[in-house]
Amino acid sequence: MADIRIELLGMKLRNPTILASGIVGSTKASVAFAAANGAGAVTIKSVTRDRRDGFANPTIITFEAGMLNAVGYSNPGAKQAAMEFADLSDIPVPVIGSLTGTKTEDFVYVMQQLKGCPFAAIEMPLSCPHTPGFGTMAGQHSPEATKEITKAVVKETKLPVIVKLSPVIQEIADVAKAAEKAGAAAINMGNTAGPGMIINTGLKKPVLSGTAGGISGPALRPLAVRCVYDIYKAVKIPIIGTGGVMTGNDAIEMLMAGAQAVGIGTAIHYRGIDVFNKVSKEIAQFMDQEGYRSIKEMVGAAHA
Amino acid sequence: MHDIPSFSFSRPARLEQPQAVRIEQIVDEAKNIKSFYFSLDADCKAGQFLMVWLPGVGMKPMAVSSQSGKLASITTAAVGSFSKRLFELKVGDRMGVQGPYGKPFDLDAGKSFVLVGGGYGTATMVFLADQLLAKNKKVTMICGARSKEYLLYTDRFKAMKMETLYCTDDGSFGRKGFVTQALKEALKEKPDCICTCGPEPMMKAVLGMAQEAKIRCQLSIERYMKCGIGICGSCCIDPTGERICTEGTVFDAKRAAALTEFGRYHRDGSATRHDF
Ligand SMILES: Cc1cc2nc3c(=O)[nH]c(=O)nc-3n(C[C@H](O)[C@H](O)[C@H](O)COP(=O)(O)OP(=O)(O)OC[C@H]3O[C@@H](n4cnc5c(N)ncnc54)[C@H](O)[C@@H]3O)c2cc1C
Ligand SMILES: Cc1cc2nc3c(=O)[nH]c(=O)nc-3n(C[C@H](O)[C@H](O)[C@H](O)COP(=O)(O)O)c2cc1C
Repeated sequence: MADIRIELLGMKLRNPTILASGIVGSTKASVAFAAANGAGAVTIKSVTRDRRDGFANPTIITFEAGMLNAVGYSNPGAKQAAMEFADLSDIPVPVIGSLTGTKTEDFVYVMQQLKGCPFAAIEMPLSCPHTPGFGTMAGQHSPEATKEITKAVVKETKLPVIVKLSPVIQEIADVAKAAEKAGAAAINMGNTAGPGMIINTGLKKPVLSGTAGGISGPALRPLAVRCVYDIYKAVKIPIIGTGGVMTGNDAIEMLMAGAQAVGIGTAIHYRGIDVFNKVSKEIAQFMDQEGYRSIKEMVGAAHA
Repeated sequence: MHDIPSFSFSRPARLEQPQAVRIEQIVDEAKNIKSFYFSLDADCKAGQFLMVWLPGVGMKPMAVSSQSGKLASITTAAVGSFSKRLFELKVGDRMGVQGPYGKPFDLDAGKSFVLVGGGYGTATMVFLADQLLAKNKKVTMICGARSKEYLLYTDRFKAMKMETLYCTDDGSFGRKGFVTQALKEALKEKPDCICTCGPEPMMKAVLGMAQEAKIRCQLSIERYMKCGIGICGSCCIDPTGERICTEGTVFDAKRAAALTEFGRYHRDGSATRHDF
């Protein structure tokens, strides 16, 4: 049987699947549930300085090729989150903290609040496409802003910092390089695309209350794979490939494009919470059939 | 060549989006409680819920309270901004409906059932009674309310082949007192299964009585929900992290008893904790 364990940023993962941020994840129990269903590591839902209710419902819907969401970073705020995740000793896999903000000071503030939580790494999205004040709506995806925010957070913590990028940026390699230069330990490539819109024709209204939302799932995958492929050539730090991974074959595609691990979110809807077990099994099956002994052998294979 | 199957949607390729429906009928059930009937192209089971969308207002989970052919209903209590706006709708108006979602009650958990409903939880119980009676099960319905004007479905119950015990806090209709007293008496008949839906303190008491009497029990649990499809995590419950919308709404006694949060606290849309 193939060995699907990996090492990433000093974390030992039993398999390369990671619960993506914002798919469940506001509570310790919810990330533990993904871990109990096979995730190699789990990411919490992004935490902001203050409590946020996010957009009114509807916030998450599906279409023929994936999902559209405008949740709007609902979370209980940094102080509550710090209590929720204060003790992670009963979670059998590494837990990645996720934080975000509208200003550099807010990223730093949340980082300070979460210092007491035993996270294995910290991730920060600079790439949400549908929440005013955050991500691409606030220009956080420019190389300059990426550099500034990354530098400030890296200074605040000893943990490896993962910067999560947007797949809609054309000069994606420049942004990845800026993050690497500013001290990022890894890139998560990446967030949802768009934003897109779905209109209910009977009620003549966009369905999402935020009107537009990030596109995830199968429709996103080719875009995410291409971005991983592009930044693999530009940076030396590891890449987590996220976007539309549904199967073991999708995960291997990400690895071959240059990712060392894969994020999984939307697939939970289509294949169940145990999608992590399913994808891991399919990866091992592929490796056995194709004669790969380790995940490493496949990383970047499409570039050879 | 490797023969890994490529991904095919394991669920029916259904779009999880609200569909516009026309309100066919509105029934005043009790003080501040109305049922809305509309046609729905999906089979619902008791314990499942629909997401109901009012554009510009919100989308909220509502239990299915009946289905007969293509005509389904929800029963709503006017408590806040969404439900009050729903109450302004008239026959012929449109709203959005999505679902149904959630794991339903197990109708084969025995031959005789006692159903305990409180508040709008009775919506789930009356639909369950419909489905149990259709399978020729013996059903005893216990429902409670503050006083007579809050009791639901009294006419609908009358037409059903089951015993119905009403309890009101002030004794204005049926017995005076809580549903737990009526349940105590009903348990003397040794039913195979108790099913309950309603305020959490009530369900917690029912669960305790069922465990003591060693009678099978199924509970439909409610938590704050946004997506209804297992993604947002709002309804994840401690300590297992199970999603009430997907692994629930119905839990058996053993699984419910393992939920440390049950009967003690819940979370709102920002995941902030509140005690009951
Ligand atoms: C599985 C399930 C089935 C339900 N079935 C029914 C039903 O048959 N009839 C009925 O009247 N109500 C039902 N509810 C509750 C209903 O969704 C809320 O009462 C309603 O959304 C209140 O909204 P509001 O804006 O009118 O009031 P608000 O003032 O916004 O809220 C009043 C209270 O309702 C609860 N609530 C609000 N929003 C939600 C939400 N998105 N999810 C869960 N609870 C919420 C909260 O506890 C809140 O304190 C059900 C809830 C769930 C989870
Ligand atoms: C409902 C939902 C909420 C999300 N919330 C967050 C979030 O809070 N922080 C974040 O970094 N990414 C968030 N994302 C993006 C995902 O982490 C992931 O990058 C994206 O969905 C693509 O992966 P997928 O196709 O496997 O879902 C969210 C995505 C969805 C669908």
